[in-house]
Amino acid sequence: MRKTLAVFKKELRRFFSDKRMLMALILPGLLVFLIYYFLPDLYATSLSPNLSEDYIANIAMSDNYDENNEQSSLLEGAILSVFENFDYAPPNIVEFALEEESQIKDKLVKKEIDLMVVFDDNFEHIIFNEISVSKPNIDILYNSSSGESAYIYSLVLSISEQLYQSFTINYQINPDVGEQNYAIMQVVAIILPMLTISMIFSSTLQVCPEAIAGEKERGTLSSILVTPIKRSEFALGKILALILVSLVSGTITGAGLLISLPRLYGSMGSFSMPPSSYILLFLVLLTLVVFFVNVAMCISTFAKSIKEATSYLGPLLVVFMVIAMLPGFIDVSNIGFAFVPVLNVSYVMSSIVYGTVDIMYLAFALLSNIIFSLIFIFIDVKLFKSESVVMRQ
Amino acid sequence: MDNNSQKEIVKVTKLSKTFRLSYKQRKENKTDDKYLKAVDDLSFSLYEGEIYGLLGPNGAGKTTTLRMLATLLTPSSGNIYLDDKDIQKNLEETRRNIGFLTSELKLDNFFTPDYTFDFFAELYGLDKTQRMRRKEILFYQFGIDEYRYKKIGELSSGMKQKVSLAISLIHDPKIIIYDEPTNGLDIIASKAVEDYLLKLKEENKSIIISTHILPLVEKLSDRIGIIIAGKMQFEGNRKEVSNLGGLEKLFFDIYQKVRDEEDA
Repeated sequence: MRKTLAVFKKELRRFFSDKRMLMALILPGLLVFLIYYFLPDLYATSLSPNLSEDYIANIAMSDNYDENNEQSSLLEGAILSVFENFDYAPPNIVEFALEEESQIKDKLVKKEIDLMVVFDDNFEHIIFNEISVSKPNIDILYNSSSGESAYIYSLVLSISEQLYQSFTINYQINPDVGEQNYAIMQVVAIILPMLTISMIFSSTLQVCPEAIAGEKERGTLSSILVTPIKRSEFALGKILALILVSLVSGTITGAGLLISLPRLYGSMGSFSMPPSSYILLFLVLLTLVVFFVNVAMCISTFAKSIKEATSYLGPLLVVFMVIAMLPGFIDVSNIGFAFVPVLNVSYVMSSIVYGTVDIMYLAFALLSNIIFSLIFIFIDVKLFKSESVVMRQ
Repeated sequence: MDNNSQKEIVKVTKLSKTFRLSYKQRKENKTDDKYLKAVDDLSFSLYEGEIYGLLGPNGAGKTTTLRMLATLLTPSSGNIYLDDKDIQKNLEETRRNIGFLTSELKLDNFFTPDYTFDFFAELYGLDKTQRMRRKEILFYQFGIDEYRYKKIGELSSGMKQKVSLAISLIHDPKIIIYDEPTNGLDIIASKAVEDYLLKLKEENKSIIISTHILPLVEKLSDRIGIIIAGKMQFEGNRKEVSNLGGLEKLFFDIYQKVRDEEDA
C-alpha cells in the first residue's frame, strides 16, 4: 500500500505542478462554461436576425380594441410607422374576431403568420379614457422557432410599451407559442451531452497517454519496475491518481456546466432544475469519468508511445461523440440501453434536464459504468503483468 | 582471485530467451524466422566481492541477460539463482538485493534529484532515517548536492547519469548490475564511477558490468565473459585473458571465429 501511495503521490505531483497539464485539466471546464454561457446570445442572434428589407411581416390583431372607434387601432398605426422608419416592407396586418383566436393561434404555430395581438375588449378605449380601475390585458404572441417571429415580437413589444407607456396594462406572461422548449430540446438532446461527454473524454485523453505510454516512451517505467513494487501495486497507484486527476477535471467541467446552465435555460424559456437533478447529473458524469480513465489506461498501457496511444484514443473520441448524440435521434429509453456506456450517460443527462429521469434506468446506467470500469481495471492490471506489453518499445 | 574460497551469489544455468518477431522486425532483420533466440543456453556464476565483466558486440544478448537478472524479463528456459533461490519465485526479494542500471532506464526529467531519490526510497521501503543517510552519502559521493533541487531535465547528461547511479544504489544492494555505467560521462566523471565501483567491491559487493570500453573491463573485472550471438564464447579471469594475448586480441579472435563458423 505504501508503494501504491508513493506512485499515487508522484502522479499527482506530476500533474498538479506542470503548467501544461494543469491547463489541460482546467481548459475543458472553462470551455464548457464559455460555450454554454454565451450560447444563448449566439443562439438568439442566429434565430433573430434583422428582418430583410423585403420580408413582409404577417401580423394578426383582434378587432375588439375599441368599440367606439371604427378606425384601425393606434398600435397598428404605430407598427406601420416604425416599419416605414426602419425601411422594412409594410407589414400585412389583418384583424380577426375573438371567436377565431384559436385558428389564428394555429396559424402562428404553423408559422403562417409571425405575430398575433389579442386585446381585452375595448382595450384602447379603456386605457385612453381611464375607465377601468383594473389593468386591461394585451396578449402579444409569437413563435420562437421562427427567427422573424421572435424579432417582430421584440419590435412590437417595444412599440406597445412606448405607445401605452403611461398606462398600466398586462402583458402575456408566456408569449411563446412555439413548440414548448423547442430550443432546449435541440440543446439538451444533442449538443449538451455530446459537448460535455467529449470535453470529459478530451481531458482523459490529455492525462492517460502521458502517464502510462509516456513513461514507457521516456524509459522511466523500467526504472520503477526493477524496484520491489508489484506491477499490480504500480497499476493501482496510477489508476487511482488518474481517476482523481480526471475527477478534478470532470468536476471543473461539471462546475462550468452548472454555472452556465441556468443562464442557458433562463434565456430560452422558463426552465429550472431542482438541486437533486444537479446532484444526479454530477453523479452520472463522475461514473463516466472513471469509465473513461480505465478505457484510456488500458489503451495507453498497450501503446508503446504517447503518439501511438493518442492515435488509438483520438478516433475513440469521435465514436463516443457519435454515441453521445444518438439519444437526440433514436429512442434509447429501453432499459437495455442503460447497459451501454456513454449512450446511457447521454440519455440520462437529457432525461435529468427534462425532469423525466427513470430511476431504474439511472441505477442500471450507474451500475453498468461501475462494472465496465472494474472490467477495464482488471484488464489493465493484466496488461501491466504482461512482459510483452510492458517492455514493448 | 580464487573462486573456490568465495561464496557463489548468482548462478545462471542454461539461460535462454526467445522473442517473437513482428512482421516489421522480421523485415528489418531480413529473416523469415518468427522467433529470435536472443540468449542461448547461457551459464555463468557471480561470486561475492567480485566484478564480472560481460563483453559482446551489439545484439549479442548482453542487455537481455542483464534484464533477466534484474527480473525485468522472464527467461524462456533456464534458471537464475540468487543465494540459491530461484529469482522468478522471489521477485521482490531479488529486487531488494539488486541495483540495476542501463542506458535505457531513465529518470523523469520533470522531477528534481531530491524528489526522485525520495520516491525510489519509498519504493524500496526505506524509512526516513535510512533515506536521509543514504541520500547524504550518495549525493556527496557523486557530487549531486549542488543540483539536488534542479529538475533532472535541466542537468547535463553526465550529471543525469550520476543521479541514475545514485538512485540504483539507494537500497545499498549487494549485487550491482550496470550496463554501460560510464556512458555519457566525461573523463573525470568516468574516473569517479570507476573508483566508486572499486570502493563497492571493497565493501564486498558483487558487480556485473557490461561495456564496450575494453580497457575499462580489463582494468576493473576479476573475471570476464564474452557473449556473441546469445552464447557464452569465453569465460576466464584476468590472468587467463592476459595469457591469451590481452582482452582486445582475445575478443576479436573469438568474434572472427564465430563469424567464420556462421559463414561456414
